Amino acid sequence: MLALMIFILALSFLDMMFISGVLVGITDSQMHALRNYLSADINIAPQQTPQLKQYIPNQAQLRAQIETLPGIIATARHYNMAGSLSFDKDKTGQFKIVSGAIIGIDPESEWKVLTLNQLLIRGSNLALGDTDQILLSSSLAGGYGAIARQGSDLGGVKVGDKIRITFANGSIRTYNVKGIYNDIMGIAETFITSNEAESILSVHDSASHILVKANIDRVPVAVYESKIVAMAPNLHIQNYNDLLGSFASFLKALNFIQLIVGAISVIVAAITIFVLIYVNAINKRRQIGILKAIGIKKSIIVNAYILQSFFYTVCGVFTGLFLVFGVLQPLLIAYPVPVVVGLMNLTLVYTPMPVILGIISFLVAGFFAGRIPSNLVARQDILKAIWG
Amino acid sequence: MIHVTDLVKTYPGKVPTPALKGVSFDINDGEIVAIMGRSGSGKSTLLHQLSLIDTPTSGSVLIDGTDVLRLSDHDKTTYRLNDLGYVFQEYALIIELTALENVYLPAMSKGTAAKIYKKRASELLDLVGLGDRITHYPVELSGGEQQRVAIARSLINAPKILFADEPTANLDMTSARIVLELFQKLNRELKQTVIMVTHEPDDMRYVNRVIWLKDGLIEKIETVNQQA
Ligand SMILES: Nc1ncnc2c1ncn2[C@@H]1O[C@H](COP(=O)(O)OP(=O)(O)OP(=O)(O)O)[C@@H](O)[C@H]1O
Ligand SMILES: [Mg+2]
Repeated sequence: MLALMIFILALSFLDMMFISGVLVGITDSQMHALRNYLSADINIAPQQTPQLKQYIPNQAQLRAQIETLPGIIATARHYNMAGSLSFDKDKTGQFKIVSGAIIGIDPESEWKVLTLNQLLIRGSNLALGDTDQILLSSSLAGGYGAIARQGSDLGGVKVGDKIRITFANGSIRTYNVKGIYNDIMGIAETFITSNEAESILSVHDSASHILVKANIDRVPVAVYESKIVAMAPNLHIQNYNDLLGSFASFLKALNFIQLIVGAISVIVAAITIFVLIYVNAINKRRQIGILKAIGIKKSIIVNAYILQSFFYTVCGVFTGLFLVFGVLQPLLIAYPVPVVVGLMNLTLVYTPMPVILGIISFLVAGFFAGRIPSNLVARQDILKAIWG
Repeated sequence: MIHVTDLVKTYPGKVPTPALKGVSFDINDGEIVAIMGRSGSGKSTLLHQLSLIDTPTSGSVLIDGTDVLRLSDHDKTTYRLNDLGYVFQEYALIIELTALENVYLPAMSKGTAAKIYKKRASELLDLVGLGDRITHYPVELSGGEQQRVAIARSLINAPKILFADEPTANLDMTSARIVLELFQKLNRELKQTVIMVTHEPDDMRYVNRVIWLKDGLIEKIETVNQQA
């Protein structure tokens, strides 16, 4: 009976911890992925007012200046272009055509900011002089099990194949596929070198965007952002929170779910203890009556039950903590359970504050769930208690 | 000295039950008194009012000049703890506690030093003849032995008055005699005031006076043995 009760308490604690751990794990790894593959920490766009500009000029100088700031890890620039890719798979003149974004990058600095290079599944990454090569998304290439693009991929491109790109400004060039990356984010971008982009666009030392990676573990991103704003007041500067706005509201929804699950767990625990103590106290009604008759104060009797309830709660919480940190967490590390294959595994992530709050709310619930029922019984008339 | 005036107890209910209809009497310090009468005559009811376990409808009870019925609930509890002892008919021990722990429980909750109450508890168990049973749990004791542990417990805080409601009703003759002789001994040697309910005419030889109740009224008060 007792062991069962403690087990139920442990499970409801576990339930709370598990759900919140999973949710934090999901949001954490999502946020991480978005920052690493998509948004970087700070994004600098060309001037918007008083006059909209297409490029950031003198990007090398600006980036060098930004990189002198303490805590800045790296910067990179992008040339954003659009075009259509054509592929003649069977050399029959029957081209498959898809259109998409084409990004000009400086390979070396790019990989320090956005680590798309880590997702390479075929061939190799672009290098500095690869002006006639591209890095292709698996979702455009087709046939790599990537998140499907609605009916529009090139039907199975392999490394070494030739792709013809028609750029928005009319230039047409043919490239070798040097590598194919696993497009887990579904961005469907094609990468060329920035030298190649500059030759197509006829620009020099410019950028459509500058991306900044900073050490945001200690210093909030807004601090870096404001320093960069001071350096380049006329550029349009945003941090990842601004860029991932809709994701942030998704996080809020998750937090709310977490709160509800926590509240339900605490209520379940409280009811369990309440019933346990109430049954216990009812069984001891006569003894409680006798204790009162010989002059033992009601508060002493009630305190004894609160102590008992605390004992159950603490046992339950400790068992729950053991199950989370001693069993489940190591188990999930040893035997990963994928949530999204290749992208994300089920992980339990905890920050100390919610764990402490969870423990405290269980103890508070334990206090009242011990106090209320024992008080109900101990409040009874002595004679009623003894003789029913 | 206990001074009872016009004590009335009517149990409320659909049909209110008048259990005590106005009783008055005095009991001296050091006296041992029996309350007797037919079943339903109001003996237990009277004892409950005197021992502050229940609240009478009207009347007054003065114990050494204190109007105990006017005390707050909290003060009544304290008064029961410090000044009154109560022995129930049966099964009044805490089953999770040993004989010794049962005895010192009221002293412990009064805040007496552990060394003192443990010593006094084992002295009392000696007094009731259970010095060799102090670590026994209630289930390991006979009914008579349990009753003697309960008596020892009622004495731990040196009460002014010791109440007992048919303390021998569930005991065999030998055990009953041991318990009654114990009351007599406490009364003679420690000048303990004892008020007990009984329906056994034989028990009259252990007491100084008998208060006879009939239908919630005092029928007569009879002196059977002069107070020593
Ligand atoms: N809680 C109660 N509610 C209503 N009536 C009660 C209650 N307790 C006792 N009575 C009634 O009060 C009267 C006196 O009861 P009491 O228990 O004092 O009698 P008693 O003399 O102790 O009898 P016995 O020898 O059987 O123990 C009885 O008529 C009884 O039915
Ligand atoms: Mg009775």
